[in-house]
Amino acid sequence: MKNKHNDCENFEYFDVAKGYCVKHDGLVPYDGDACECFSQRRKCKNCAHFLNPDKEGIGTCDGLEDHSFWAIAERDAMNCEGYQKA
Amino acid sequence: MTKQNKKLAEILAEKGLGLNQRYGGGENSDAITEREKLPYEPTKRAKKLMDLYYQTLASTSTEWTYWYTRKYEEMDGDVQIVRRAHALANAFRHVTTSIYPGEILVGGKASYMRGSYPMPWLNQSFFAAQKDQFSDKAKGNAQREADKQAVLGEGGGNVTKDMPGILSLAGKFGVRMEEVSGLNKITDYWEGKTVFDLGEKYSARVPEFKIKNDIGRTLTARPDSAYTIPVGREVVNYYYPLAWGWDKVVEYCDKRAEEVAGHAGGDGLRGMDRLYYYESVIILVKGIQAWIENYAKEARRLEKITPDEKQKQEFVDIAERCQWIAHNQPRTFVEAAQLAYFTHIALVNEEVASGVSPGRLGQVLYPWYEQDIAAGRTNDHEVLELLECMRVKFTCMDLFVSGSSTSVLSGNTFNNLTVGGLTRDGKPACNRLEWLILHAAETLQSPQPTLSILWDEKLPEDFVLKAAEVVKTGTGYPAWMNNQVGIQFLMKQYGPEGMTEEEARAIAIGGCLETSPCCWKELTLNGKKYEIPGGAGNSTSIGVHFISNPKILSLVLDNGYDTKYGFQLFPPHNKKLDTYEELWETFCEYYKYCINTLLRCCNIQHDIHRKFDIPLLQSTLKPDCLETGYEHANMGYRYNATYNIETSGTINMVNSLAALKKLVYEEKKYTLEEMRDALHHNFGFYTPAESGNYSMGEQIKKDHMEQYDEIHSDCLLAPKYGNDEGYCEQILKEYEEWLCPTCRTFESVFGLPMYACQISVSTQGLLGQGCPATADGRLEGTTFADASMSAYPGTDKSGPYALFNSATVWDHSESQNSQMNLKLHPTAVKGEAGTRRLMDLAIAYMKKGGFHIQFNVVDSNLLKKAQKNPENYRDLMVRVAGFTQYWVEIGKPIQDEVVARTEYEGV
Amino acid sequence: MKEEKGLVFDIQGFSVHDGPGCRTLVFLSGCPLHCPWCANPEGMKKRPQLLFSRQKCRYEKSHCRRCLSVCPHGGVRQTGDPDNPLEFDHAICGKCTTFECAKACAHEAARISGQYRTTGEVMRILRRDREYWDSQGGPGFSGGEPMAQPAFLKSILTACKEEEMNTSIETTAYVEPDIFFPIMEKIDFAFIDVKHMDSDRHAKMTGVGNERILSNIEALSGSSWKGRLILRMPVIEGFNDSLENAEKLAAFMKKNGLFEINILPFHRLGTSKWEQLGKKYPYAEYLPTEEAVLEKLQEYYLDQRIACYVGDDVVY
Repeated sequence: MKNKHNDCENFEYFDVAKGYCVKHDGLVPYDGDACECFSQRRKCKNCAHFLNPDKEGIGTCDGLEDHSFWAIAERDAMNCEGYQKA
Repeated sequence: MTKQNKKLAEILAEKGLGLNQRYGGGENSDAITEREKLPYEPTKRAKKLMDLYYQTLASTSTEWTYWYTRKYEEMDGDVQIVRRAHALANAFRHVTTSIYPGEILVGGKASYMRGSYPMPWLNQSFFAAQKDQFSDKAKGNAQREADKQAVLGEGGGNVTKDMPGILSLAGKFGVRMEEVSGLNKITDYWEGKTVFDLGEKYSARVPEFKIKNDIGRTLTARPDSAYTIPVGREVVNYYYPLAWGWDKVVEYCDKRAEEVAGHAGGDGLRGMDRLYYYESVIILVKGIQAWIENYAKEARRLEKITPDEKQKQEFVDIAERCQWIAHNQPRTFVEAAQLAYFTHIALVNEEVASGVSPGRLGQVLYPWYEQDIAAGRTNDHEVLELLECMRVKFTCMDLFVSGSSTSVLSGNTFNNLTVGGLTRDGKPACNRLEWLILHAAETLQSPQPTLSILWDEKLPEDFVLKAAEVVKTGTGYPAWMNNQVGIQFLMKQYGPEGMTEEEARAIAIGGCLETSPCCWKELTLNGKKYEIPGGAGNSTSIGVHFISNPKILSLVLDNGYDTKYGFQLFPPHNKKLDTYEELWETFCEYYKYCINTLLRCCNIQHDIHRKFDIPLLQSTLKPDCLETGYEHANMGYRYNATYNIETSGTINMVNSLAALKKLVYEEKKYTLEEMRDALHHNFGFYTPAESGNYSMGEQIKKDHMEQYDEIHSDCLLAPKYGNDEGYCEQILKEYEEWLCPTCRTFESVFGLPMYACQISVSTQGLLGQGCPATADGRLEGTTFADASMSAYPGTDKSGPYALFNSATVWDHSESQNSQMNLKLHPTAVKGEAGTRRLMDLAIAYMKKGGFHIQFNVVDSNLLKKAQKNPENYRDLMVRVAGFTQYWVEIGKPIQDEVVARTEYEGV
Repeated sequence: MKEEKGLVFDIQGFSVHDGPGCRTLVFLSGCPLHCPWCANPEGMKKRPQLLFSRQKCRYEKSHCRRCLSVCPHGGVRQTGDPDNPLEFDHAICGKCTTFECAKACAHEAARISGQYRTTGEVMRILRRDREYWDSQGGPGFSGGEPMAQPAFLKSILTACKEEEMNTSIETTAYVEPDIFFPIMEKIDFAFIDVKHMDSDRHAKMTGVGNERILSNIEALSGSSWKGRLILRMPVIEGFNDSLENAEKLAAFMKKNGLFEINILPFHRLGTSKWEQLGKKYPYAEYLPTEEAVLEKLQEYYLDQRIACYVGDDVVY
């Protein structure tokens, strides 16, 4: 599966259909294909603590103080203190 | 100055007459307006950001919702206020903190530029119901998604229907499909636990509970006060972060927690709560600090990514700034503005809030402005640029609410910025920064923040003229509020809680028009002392929501039977209504019955809300919570008697009473039965549901229904409010002199007297839909008169002075507000003389006792609208020398010509 | 206060372009001139007149037949033409004094221009509006020709002056001097129209020559009158917009020590009122005055050291 703009660290969320690419200083489609400057963004799905996602993207997070809670694959984790790259 | 004007000036000077200089030029100008010439175009930076805004879709995120819920679940079993603090802090810590290149002020509610969050813990009934639909759509959509190259969502605006990868919620907001399964889990958790669920469960004990809900569905009133926007229509107090810095707030709470731990302090009901309160504030503030530091972190991260050197430096500055203000008192104007803005966002994230108002921000931030300018750290051009960026930021604030709430609020979040007013010791409080705030509203026209000027006789003319100039840009603001009338109201309502005249002078406006109790706080910056105003009261415009006055009258005529919805809504009064006095008395009885029914249920709703969804940040920032240790439910605010009773459709009610009085009781031309018959048959017209249109002018008559023509004509020709004829005005006076004291006899959830709030927001449309035909000739379902003191469209035929006289027959200081909207044709306010005329008109109304007036200087777009719906623009006068004509009377071809010229010439 | 009665076709508050400050303008019916470009044709006759606005009529939308059911003179009839379903016979309406149709019409489609008012009634309105005028504002008198009802006007002005109001007038000055001067004595600010300097051409269009007008102006400027006088000229294409006329007018002004003139661009906003009276606006096809024409005229006057204001840009 190709990487999308919203998977990239250079992408700032803008609205549900678009993001702002800081590298190229302009709006890009949320679901558009990433370019060669792609750098993986911290999301739950990329975290070592995100376990067993189902087909709806719901899995378990064991990386925080509550030890275990459901989490969702596409959740942004840029400010999550428990994030560990998988 | 043009060549011609120069020559004119010379000629007139010879004769001893002066050319009317542009105010602010010439030797006599005030220190406020003399300065370097400022442009009237927005700065490039702000314009770029505003253009970006126009491309945003209303987007809702479940980030906050998730992080709040996750922690809330974890803290199950802990003391509720502490649990809430943890949940809020957790949300603050974890939400994604986006920054866009070009911004000076950073931050927003959500990761999206124009973002919002569902807050199911208050109410999820309006979006959770579609849950199963969502899941199906999410599954189906996800499959298609993998193969599709998404289209750059065209432009901005509301997401009214689903798009690839995006689901439409509540008719307006887009949410990412990927989040839907998570949202469903969240709504599952909150099922049965929401304020709505518990509120309905316990208010079911009120004997009239079912009637409350019937009142809602028949649009007799907006029934539920606590389930939509329980916080807001009040004024923020930025004092503590700006004066102390957040670290000192935490230190203070640490100290106080130790002091109060284990002491009841003489108060067996509230004393012990103080410990949990201080612990909670510490938790919350640390969460907010982490949130601000996350912006610093993000800025540092982006600095490494961005290729542009200038932008890199800007990110460095932003990081440094955010890092500092996360802990300390701001040092510069930019830091102060950024911290105030972060505080504001934090407040509107804490709860579903609308009308959280910045208050007199120009006076609050003035110390930093004054010192920065004096030290040469900034100049007016830079400050103006920042203020424009601030306008963009406020405009980006969105609110996730139900469709009907969106319709009432018209999508507005009512961040009202007040300018003017007096200082504590009675001097004019306006300053150069406020002048710049006004100027920024002209250069960067945007919906938010809305502006209000607290007009007082003492304000210098130059400043007031500037406000009038801003009005001419056509945005509708600043609205004009009567400072002295507002102060008198505050004294009346809050005197028992200790309000003095000096404190009342700190007055500012919450929401669109809600006079709010405020206070003065002394702030020291670099050794110099300043006194800044800020909010000191609980939210207003909650308690009992909009009652449809004309509908109550209809119910009186029909013995409590709702003819539109076909059932017995109110208990029958069984009065014969043989005299006008009996009709009026019965109206009063039914009105009180309505208030009481709603109030009992809403008090329970608010009680549930204050027990569970504690407005903790509100209870941190508003005096005197922090010092006393008492939060919202423990009445820690300085002023708690803020809950009120709202009304709508006042003028239609007045005109209808007048028609009944004249035609049935005085002239006896028709019996009450004949009147009822005509009303029940909608004067022989189709209903809007049948005709497909809610505008009075578009209603269609049924064939062969002439028997109601004469009575309809007589109803339309009966005396109408707004022409200073006295007949309707007497009825209005009687109504107000009954309503205002009556509202005070009702007790809020705090056991304190309530008061009347008389603004319409946009309820005239929504409630109009639920109201049958009325005796003033209005047809079923059509919109009421807007505002509260504006005449019904098409019925004020005697000009603004007659209207002003009509509106001021009663004492406006008896009510929280009155609302008057006036449309002006651009020819009426053309040029500098026109600006002065506009100012004079507003002041004339204020001097007569009017509380509020707002002008809409119609632009060419509105003129085109006026062509389509002339009955809504009946009072719009075209002002040309020696000519008298209403806009609506001018033939279309000439109207087109004027429209074209308006576009060309502007105002 | 001497109580008189007169015919008034409008009282307009918040008038901002007809004299200093915010004014309340009282428009009196009746005019000795008959300018074909007149924007207030409903004020030409000194009697109430019927105006019918097809735009406002609810004959189709609401099947309203009120006027038809109440008119005893056969002044209104159904035409059967869907584009123009209701027609008023203004020859009949011109003689009507009862106007049942206007009283019955709830939509202002049929309405009367011209209402009889007493001095007291007018003063009540002026006293009310006084609270809304600014320091420069006050009552203003226009029309039609306000001096065409001299006794009525004088009684109002006397009362205004007793109450120290700042009075203004817009007049043709086409009245006998023994009417003109006693009235002007009570006026603080005046606009007087000079439509054309050539009397024959003046008469051809307005129906009267200009001698009396010019002589009144001359006498006024030579008198001890302390008010402010600004001449006014509606700029009518092909009639008075020539430089030749401007030269004559400028010379006249200089001769009489007058130094202010307000030239008004032509507009067609009054077209619909002519139609409502059942007439065709003679100037319906003329376009609003071009900027260039106004500029040229203004330049000329300014060069003659005469303060020339264009349109609403009068200096107060």
